[in-house]
Amino acid sequence: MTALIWRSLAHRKFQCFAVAITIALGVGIIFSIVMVYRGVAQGVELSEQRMGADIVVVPGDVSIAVEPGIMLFGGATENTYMPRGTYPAIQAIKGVKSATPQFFTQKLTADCHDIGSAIRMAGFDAASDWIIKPWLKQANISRLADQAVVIGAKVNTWNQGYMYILGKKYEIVTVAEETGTSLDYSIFVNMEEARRVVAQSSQLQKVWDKQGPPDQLISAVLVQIDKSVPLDEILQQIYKTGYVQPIVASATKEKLQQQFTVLAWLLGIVGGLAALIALFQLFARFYTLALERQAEWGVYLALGASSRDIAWIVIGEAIAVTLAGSLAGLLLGAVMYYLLLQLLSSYQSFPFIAPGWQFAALASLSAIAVFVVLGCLAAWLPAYQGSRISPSTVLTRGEFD
Amino acid sequence: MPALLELSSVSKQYDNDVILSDISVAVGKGQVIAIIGDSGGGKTTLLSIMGLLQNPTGGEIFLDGREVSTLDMVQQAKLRNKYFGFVFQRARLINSLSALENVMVPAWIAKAGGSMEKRAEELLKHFNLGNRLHYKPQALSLGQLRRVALARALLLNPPLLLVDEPTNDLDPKLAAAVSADLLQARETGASVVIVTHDYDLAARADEVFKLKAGKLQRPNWKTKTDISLVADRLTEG
Repeated sequence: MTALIWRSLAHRKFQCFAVAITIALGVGIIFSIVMVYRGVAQGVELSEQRMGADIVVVPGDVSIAVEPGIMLFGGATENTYMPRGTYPAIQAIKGVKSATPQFFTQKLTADCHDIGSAIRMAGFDAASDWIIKPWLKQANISRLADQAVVIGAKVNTWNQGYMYILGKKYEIVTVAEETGTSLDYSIFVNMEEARRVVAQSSQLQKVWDKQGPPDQLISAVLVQIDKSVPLDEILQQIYKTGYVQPIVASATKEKLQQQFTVLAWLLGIVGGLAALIALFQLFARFYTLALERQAEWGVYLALGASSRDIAWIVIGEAIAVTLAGSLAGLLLGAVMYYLLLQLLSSYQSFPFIAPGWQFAALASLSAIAVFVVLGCLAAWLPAYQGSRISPSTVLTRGEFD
Repeated sequence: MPALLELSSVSKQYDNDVILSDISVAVGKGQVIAIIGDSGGGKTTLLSIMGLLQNPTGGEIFLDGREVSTLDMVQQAKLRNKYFGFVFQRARLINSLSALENVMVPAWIAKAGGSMEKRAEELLKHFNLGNRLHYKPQALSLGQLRRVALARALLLNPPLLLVDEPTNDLDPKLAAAVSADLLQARETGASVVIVTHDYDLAARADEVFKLKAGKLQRPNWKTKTDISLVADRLTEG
């Protein structure tokens, strides 16, 4: 039977090619969607798990245009500051379980360091921090030396163990795990070092003149709250600490979740439609096939093929076409996945963690399995019809292909 | 001569239309039987019942002494592959396959493809189609198509060849060549049942039957006698 299946496919190569292309598109879309969905879902889940901040307090003049996702996962990337006294004031508020300050220095362009791409540099307080530490499985840092840095997972380093920033050599103490957030593109130093780095900046001199020297300032306070205390009450107290704006993480998370849900729906609908179109194509192809080839199958039946053999020919062809289409679709899906990632990477608010090869393998096998099953389902009716043909058809039918 | 195939009181009807009635005939091993009769007289139906392509509405069919009309479709299919070689009225080749591949179809169905390819080639060469092995049916003449169909029927050395109007539409020279090829099968020990209008061919059979009004008659003529006499009597009905 395999010989007959193979020859039939070879004879109808253009029809088969068209169906395989349809399947490839369906598999490609679904595979890339599943991979992106998984990556975003993992990113959101991990961020929720690890980011302890319920409220991010930033200076009141931080631009509203700043993406909340960036704020949530990495603090403000603007040179806006508030008095360092804000930190103990917030710490003292009833309902604040813990708080930690951050100090944003600047965006480092490729000229500023030896790592070749733009990154964000910030200072953090290793003693009170619970934001960065959970990402540092390889090191237990309670204090960071002045020449030490912690770098994000996607910060490129050309030298083993050290890097130069603004002409100064820093030892890389550890590399944070991949977060899928702006943290991945960040370099962290201790608070004092961060303040020293920006103190000399002539561009920021006006800021220091207006707000005081950097060693008296902070950029953000990340707050973990006691859930038993009403949020509004805590927010009111935070407003009283000065010209600050608290960003409630849960609201941001919710907004992110909504954005993610919309994206997921969109991706799901596109994927579902692709699968449906492929299914209808397959069904139409095999149904027409059943009508076209009754006389041919009649010959096979007359020559000794059983009705099960005929059903197997139809199903076998369906499996061969869907398998070929699915494999091509996986290649296409890999390209589409890469392109989608490029698109998504422009939206930093979507935390993304690339799925591992195990998931990719599972998704590939599942996509193949789903489409082969769909192919078999589409071929089932024609196969059933084919298996019902009487062998005597061969004596009554006209000429055939 | 022991019967390879025996039909006992076989009948066939579609609704109230009786096609065959009380047909009893036995085909011995190595025997050649010709069935002649008017067009639309049920010859092809009888042949298809003999070949287990359809079941009779009454009577029994014995193949090698075993009643086979009550077997299920899968079992009948296996018997068709093992016992019968079919040469249909039209060649019934698959246009997507080459001549060689068409001959190979019964072997593929029997899952014996690898071992049979050489024999398929030999058969086609025997029928002077050695230079047409890879030609598609569209590129073959009517006579060549018939010979490919005959090669296909002979591939698995079936004990019984069922042949439907093998010389129809052929010119006399080609008809004679195809008839000769067909009767050559007898030399291999195979039994042959031929449904034909070709009196020349019928006259060369061991036995000739006439199918008239659904009934099989054994005319009172000797076979291998004067062809024109047979033809005259057939025409007389």
